[in-house]
Amino acid sequence: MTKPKIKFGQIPIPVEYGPQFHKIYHVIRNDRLIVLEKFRDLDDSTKAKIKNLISNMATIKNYYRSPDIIYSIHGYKYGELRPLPHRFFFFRKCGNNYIFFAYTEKKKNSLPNRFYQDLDRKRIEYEEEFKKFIERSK
Amino acid sequence: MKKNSKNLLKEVNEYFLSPPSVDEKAWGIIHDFYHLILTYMDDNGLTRADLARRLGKSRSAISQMFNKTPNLTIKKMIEISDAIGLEINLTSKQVELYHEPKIEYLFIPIPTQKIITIEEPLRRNNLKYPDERGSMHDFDFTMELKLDTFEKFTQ
Repeated sequence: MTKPKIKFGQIPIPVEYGPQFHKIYHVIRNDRLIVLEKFRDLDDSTKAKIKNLISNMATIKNYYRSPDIIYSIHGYKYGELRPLPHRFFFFRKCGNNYIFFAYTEKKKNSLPNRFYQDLDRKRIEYEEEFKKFIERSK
Repeated sequence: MKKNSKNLLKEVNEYFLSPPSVDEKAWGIIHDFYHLILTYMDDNGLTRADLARRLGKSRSAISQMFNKTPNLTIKKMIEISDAIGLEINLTSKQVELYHEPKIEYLFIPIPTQKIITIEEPLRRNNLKYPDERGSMHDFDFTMELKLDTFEKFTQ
């Protein structure tokens, strides 16, 4: 199997939110914007909600606390932005960068263990690539 | 990158850089409210069970409230913040800047009658005075105050 081509795009944060302490990235896999594709298809109110949450995550120095943000899913090294039923998964790497790397849609709180394990494998793969990406950007 | 992906990237970037919509501003207020409540509860060791008890609600009702961000009413926000002892208020940078140089008030004590006249700017700027128990009250346009209250306020 050929190795997937993984890139990262940065999400710009509006100046109205103030100084940015954390950069927000999304994964581009084989030229597909796997997170942004899902984001684009959401309704206006949900998009506005997510834009506000992400902008606050980027501009609040420590943790922006919200019932819609879980910074660390129990047992895993990634978190979830969850304006239910939409769930955007992210991990934190190389300083203060948040990298969004997956999406799913599910109303109920819990997802099957296998799903979380699969995501964790992807997270490891993306983390490695992200470290290289940061090294290249220096 | 394929043309479709490039267009999507441009579209999302433009969306993020666009001025906040009414929806986004409204969500911003709700999100900031939750950020304040959760931070204050953490800092003061308050649990969701404490909040449920203080609001007279079931724990599941509180869990529901904290499992997603509902479209809260202002009244509900005040109920929740009062229950945990957190003061919240509405401010605006523009209005503060506008009002700052305009704050002015005048006391005219008349010791023989112990009457103090308070000019309207005092009331307009939401200044308050404390009673003997320390509770804060709004000034009226013209009101009678005990002289010791007046002296405390002017110290």
